[in-house]
Amino acid sequence: MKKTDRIKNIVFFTVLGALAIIGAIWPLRPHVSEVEKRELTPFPHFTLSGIMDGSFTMELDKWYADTYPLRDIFIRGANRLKSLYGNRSVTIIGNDNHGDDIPDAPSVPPEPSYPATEPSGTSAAEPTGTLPPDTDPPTTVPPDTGVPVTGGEVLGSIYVSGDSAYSLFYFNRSGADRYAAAINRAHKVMGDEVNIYSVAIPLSSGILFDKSLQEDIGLSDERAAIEYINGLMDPAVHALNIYDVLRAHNDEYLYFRTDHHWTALGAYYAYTELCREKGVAPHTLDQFEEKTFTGFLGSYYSKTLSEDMKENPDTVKAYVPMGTNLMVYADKNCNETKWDIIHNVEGYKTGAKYYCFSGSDQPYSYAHNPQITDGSSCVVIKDSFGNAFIPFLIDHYEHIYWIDFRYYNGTLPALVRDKNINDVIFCLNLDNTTATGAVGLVDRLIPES
Amino acid sequence: MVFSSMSFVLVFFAVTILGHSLMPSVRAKNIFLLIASLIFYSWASLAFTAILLFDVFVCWFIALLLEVYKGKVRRRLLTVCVALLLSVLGVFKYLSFLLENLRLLTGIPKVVPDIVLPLGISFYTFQLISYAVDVYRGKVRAQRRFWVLLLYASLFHQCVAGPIVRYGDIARELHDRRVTGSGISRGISRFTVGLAKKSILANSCAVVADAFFTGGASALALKPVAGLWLSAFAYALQIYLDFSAYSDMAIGMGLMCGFHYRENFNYPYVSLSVTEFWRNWHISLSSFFRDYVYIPLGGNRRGKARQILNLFVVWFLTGLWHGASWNYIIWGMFFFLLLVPEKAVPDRVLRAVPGVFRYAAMLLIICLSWVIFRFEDLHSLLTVLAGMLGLNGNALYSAVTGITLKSNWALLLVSAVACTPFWHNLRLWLRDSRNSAARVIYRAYDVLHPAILLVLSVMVLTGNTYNPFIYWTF
Repeated sequence: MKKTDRIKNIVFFTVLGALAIIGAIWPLRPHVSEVEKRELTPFPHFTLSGIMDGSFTMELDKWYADTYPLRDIFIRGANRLKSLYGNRSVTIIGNDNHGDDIPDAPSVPPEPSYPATEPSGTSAAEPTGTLPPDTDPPTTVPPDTGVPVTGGEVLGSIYVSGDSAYSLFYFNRSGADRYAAAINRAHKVMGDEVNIYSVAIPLSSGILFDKSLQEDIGLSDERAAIEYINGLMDPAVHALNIYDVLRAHNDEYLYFRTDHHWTALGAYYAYTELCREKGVAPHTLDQFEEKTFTGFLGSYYSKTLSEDMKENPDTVKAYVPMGTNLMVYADKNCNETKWDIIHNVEGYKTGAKYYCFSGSDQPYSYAHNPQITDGSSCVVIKDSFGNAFIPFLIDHYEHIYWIDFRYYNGTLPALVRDKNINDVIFCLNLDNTTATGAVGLVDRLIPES
Repeated sequence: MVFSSMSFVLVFFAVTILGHSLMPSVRAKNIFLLIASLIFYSWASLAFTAILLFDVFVCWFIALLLEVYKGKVRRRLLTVCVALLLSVLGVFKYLSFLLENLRLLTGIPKVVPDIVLPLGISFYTFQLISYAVDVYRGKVRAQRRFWVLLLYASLFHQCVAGPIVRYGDIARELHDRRVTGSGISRGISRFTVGLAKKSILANSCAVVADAFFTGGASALALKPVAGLWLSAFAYALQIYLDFSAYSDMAIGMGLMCGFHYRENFNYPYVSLSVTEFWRNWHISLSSFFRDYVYIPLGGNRRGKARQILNLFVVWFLTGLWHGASWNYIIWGMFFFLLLVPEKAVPDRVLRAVPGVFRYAAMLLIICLSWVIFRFEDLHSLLTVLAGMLGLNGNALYSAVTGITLKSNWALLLVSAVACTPFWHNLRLWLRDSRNSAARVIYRAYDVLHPAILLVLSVMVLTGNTYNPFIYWTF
């Protein structure tokens, strides 16, 4: 054997051995990935059928790779390596998509031609709704990992440019038809005494990109999509199109750069439109106490691990409601927790700063504003975008309820009836008003009778 | 457990190489390898192991009889053996396809059973057929020990995705082989180059291929022309880098254990004709069809018409071997239709065409063939082919195409170069150079590249859930 062969073999087997030994040190294996906001693959349960059909060993392979001790370092290394694949100053993550054509809004709402399907893939909570209307201030603060998150969202295609990323919108007509039909059904079931508002929240690319860039990438027109959905709704439904007001302010900080959500400022402009529709005067931003949380690295950062984003994180601004900052939420096990509507997330992880709003994604939450005594009430059917919107509503109602459409397991008409609610406000981002899976969950909230 | 998984590289491979080298004798090494191979095979599903054992048993038993009997009985025995092996393959791989087509034609049966394809069955069935035929032909002696034949068929290096190793090639090494330091050195180079080709290059090319080859026919109908070509090119790179990587790793592990498997790929993408391409692509499969189908049918010795029929049979079977779906048969026929006229043209005429044109034509043929290979749904396939020709009324180019190309150009360039003998020749040039600096670079490269490629590959594989081998189920 040549000397170089010997050295080569020694070097290779030393490195292989070291990596193998590191992999074998069980206690070093992580269980969760903070940056990805998920639990890593658990060690599989041994079953005979799992051995026979190979599912046990498949999970074992997955577990081994997913929880390898040097995982974080290697993922960063792999990311560095991928940055050498080409000029990645601008990239699109996700495959080349195309939305459906958006027809002109019809004047007569069509009947949906498909059966309502059972939602799947999302954990749902037990029905809640037995909370007392008045609550004490929060007495306990959870650990610094943040508000317990009850579920994750999957990001669609995104456009990444330097330290900023943007959600891309592709219209899905059947989902949009079904969403509008669900809202119409809500109106039919709950009757004229209940005011229904629909606020479809545009995604960042539709508001921030030039029209020409949107066309180049083949994005669906978000304004036209909202127009279309609204056109399908019963005239008695207050269907808002907040596209124009956001677009008019698109040189402001309306969306985060490292996260898919809008900012409280974006939500504020939507709130002013709602006030206009309701015929009440909106509060001005300077009336609220402002809280600022710096160093926010959101979902886009988790997705890309972009060094540019890391060097230039987002800042979360939140506006504390005047009437009360107290709320109660019920988690998926129906455990009630007292909380702050604008919660101090100062010491939270960098990825958890958006959790400052409205208790984050809990199935059911409630706030009572003692400054208002007219018995007024509303329920917001929301996704995580809605969290930034809800604080502005607090100063307009005595009782404010909000339910996360993905996790709330009761029905909307029952809640409205039980709580004697006047206003029902759907506040979902455009993806959730058009994507089949999400709309299925909205459907579930609103049964025929 | 695919070769390019963390658990394979850092547990299974590491343990088996160590264990194999510690075994005191060839017999002990063989027993160790057999146990390891059965564990490896059972890892995918314990149930499949029974089928493997059955096939090997049939083959082992009949091969022994072939050495006892003479004359017509031998022929009948061989027929029974091959028929049994092909029946098992047929039931597990083609029955659903057959019934589905029958159902479309006649409405019967109402429900087509969903049969799971046992791992590597296409590969080990062909290995066992080659063994039985070679015993029948007297080219190799029948293996007396069942477990040694089982080791040949189940050896984890090549059992599930090739190369289709002939028994005669390793018959001697099954009993008498030496593991040398230089063999290990060559083996680890081959193994790590394969690992890096798969986990870094092929998997990344797959992302580019998937960028436009995504969705059903209605989504594919909207893709821009240049985007489809970009995906077709990336897919061609992916499929070679993926499949040849598997063979690299198999050959590398063989070397580390003292086995010498034949090459399965010889830079097929620099071929100047379809014949040359198939001489260099998946060599163990094309030589199988040559030796066990084409030549027994008469090859080119029974006149032109018969040769064309023989070619038709071979290419129909080659297509069908790759999968139970019409697109694979069309893919085989595509090559048949190209090979017949190519064989009719005299060599000197082909040579008169400038190489650059022949190369460009081959590149086009290769990309198109893989597009056919990719889409099992014929509607999607026709949509993509029409789209590539600009017949779907889409833009030639889109911003997304530009961004995809721009953000992957270096990857595609390196991958394309990896399909050529460039690195190999550069390495030899450095090694044989009289320049001392070049030789130092060569030595540093030679000593360090396996470890570096291992670390880079493991890095890329960590937490990477996208990792299926394209050829895994064949």
